Amino acid sequence: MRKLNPTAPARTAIESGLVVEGLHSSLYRTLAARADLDPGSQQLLVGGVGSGKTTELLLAEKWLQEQRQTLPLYIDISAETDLSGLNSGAVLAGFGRKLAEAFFEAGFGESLPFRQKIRLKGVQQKIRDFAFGRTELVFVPDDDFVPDDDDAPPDLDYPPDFDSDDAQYSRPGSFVTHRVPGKLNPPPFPALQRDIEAIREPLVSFICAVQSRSLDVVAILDGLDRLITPDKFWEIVHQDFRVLREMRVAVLAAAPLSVLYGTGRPVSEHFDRVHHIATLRAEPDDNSYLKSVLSHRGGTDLLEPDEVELVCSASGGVLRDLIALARDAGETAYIGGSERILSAHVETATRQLGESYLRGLGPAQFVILRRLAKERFFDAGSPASIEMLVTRRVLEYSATDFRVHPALEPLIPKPD
Amino acid sequence: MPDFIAEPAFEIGRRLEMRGLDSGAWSVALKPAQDPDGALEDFAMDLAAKFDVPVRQVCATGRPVGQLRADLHAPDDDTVLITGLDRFDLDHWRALDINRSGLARRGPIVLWLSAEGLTGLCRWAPNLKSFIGGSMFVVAGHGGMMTAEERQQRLEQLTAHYRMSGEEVIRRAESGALPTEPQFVEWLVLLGRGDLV
Repeated sequence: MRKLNPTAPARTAIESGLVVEGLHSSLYRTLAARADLDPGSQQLLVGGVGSGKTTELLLAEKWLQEQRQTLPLYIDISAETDLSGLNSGAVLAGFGRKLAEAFFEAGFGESLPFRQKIRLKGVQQKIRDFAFGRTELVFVPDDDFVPDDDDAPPDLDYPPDFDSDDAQYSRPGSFVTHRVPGKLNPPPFPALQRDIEAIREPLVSFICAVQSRSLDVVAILDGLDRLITPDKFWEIVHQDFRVLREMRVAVLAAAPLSVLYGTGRPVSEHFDRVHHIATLRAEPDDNSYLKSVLSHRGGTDLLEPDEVELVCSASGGVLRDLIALARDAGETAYIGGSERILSAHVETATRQLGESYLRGLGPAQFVILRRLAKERFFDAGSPASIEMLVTRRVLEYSATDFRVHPALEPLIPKPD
Repeated sequence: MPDFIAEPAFEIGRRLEMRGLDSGAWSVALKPAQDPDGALEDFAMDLAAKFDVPVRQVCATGRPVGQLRADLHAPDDDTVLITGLDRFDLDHWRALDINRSGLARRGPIVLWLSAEGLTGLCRWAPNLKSFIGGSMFVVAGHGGMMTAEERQQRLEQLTAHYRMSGEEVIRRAESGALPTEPQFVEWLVLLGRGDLV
């Protein structure tokens, strides 16, 4: 039953052989092939919470590694820093850090001339400084100073690049310690144009060193889909993504579902391609993919065919819900002392899941859900509807096929 | 109180155990409205007794996300009960939600929430909620120790499941032939023979 773990890291699930690779028509190959063939291309992977975006990105990374034409770098920015305070420059900082690490880990530094290797180590330090900040000494002139012939030269801490002939040091003053914040340290400040220019050169140094081995760099950026609103997503990525494109680094990035609808659409138009992971079909005559997921994880050994159908149907095609429902039904059966998992156990697990979707909704949301359930009407462009999509109360099967999550639908209160 | 399953702490603990204490499972324990502080201590003690290791309480109130993340990873394999989330507003929940990858860890996480706190989680933190799914349980009986009735019920469940009597379990434990799974340890404790563990 431990294979039915909806929160297991996607990389672990792939390595354990628990992932069905062809689930979304081998989307990962489409993503990876474009990145491989078109350096500088920028693709978004969009899908609801729990739809398997991370798995597709990791499969794309694995495929690219096997082709040996690129250096793919998988980066989950949200695992490295406080994404809630994230700002422009952070994507470049995370990318640069990973690029430098991967370069030396791959042994690329070993064959370099000694001088170049040392230079690149220095460049790596510059990237670290950009990411995590640095302390520097700043000269502050003393405006109140009145010259006196007897004044002795001040006893100061001098910075390493101090040049006594520099005109700025001709006036009296002192050096003070100044902390320059990094782009991955909280609270991160937005990168100014000069910050971006400062990081460009170190990045180019490493990218050129990789390209001299006939490899292109592919940045696979996960976690950015947590920036739920399209404006926040765009605010953080647009400057950094432009630099990556100029450096001919292909980008595959997870993006929030909201870029597909309403005010989010203009954001998606900035990208070469937007791939949508639609929710998988869950009807009894069209749920073979869902069953294969359960089968891969031993679910069909625990559940009878009728209960498998119930779990598939109640999940609505949301992969994480599918796995959780099978696990929860098994737990409920075990705790109840039952020898096997019965329909009643699946129903209990479904009810729990439905209640969790119901919590936090108010009258306005109920109106939207009732209209969708009864009239099949859903205005995907309205902010309230987009919130329903983002929180998975409403599932999108295609651009025109929206439905209330099947675990939630029976619990929607009737109008007064 | 929401219409979620009511379970005492030891059953919530059994669920976590079934998932594996290294599964990174997330759950919500809904605290009772009366004497929530006392219920929290009882709940934490019962979970600790179930796992035979302490359960670490981490209060999220006033903690920046970066600090909370550091707390959850030092260490990252014990069972953590996160409290102090009930007064979180949209910004606090969003901050936690956005950082879900950074909060993920090997050991189980239980969020100790009031009905109000649960509403905030479900409204503003879809990524965290997705990790929790339907694992939301009302803490039954103030989370206190098992009653005699609950104890008897559990013994009957174990007897039915393993088709083995209590005497047989004791006999096997005395001869060193009892499997070491946690359920058998629990069984011995319920039989008053924790000395054989």
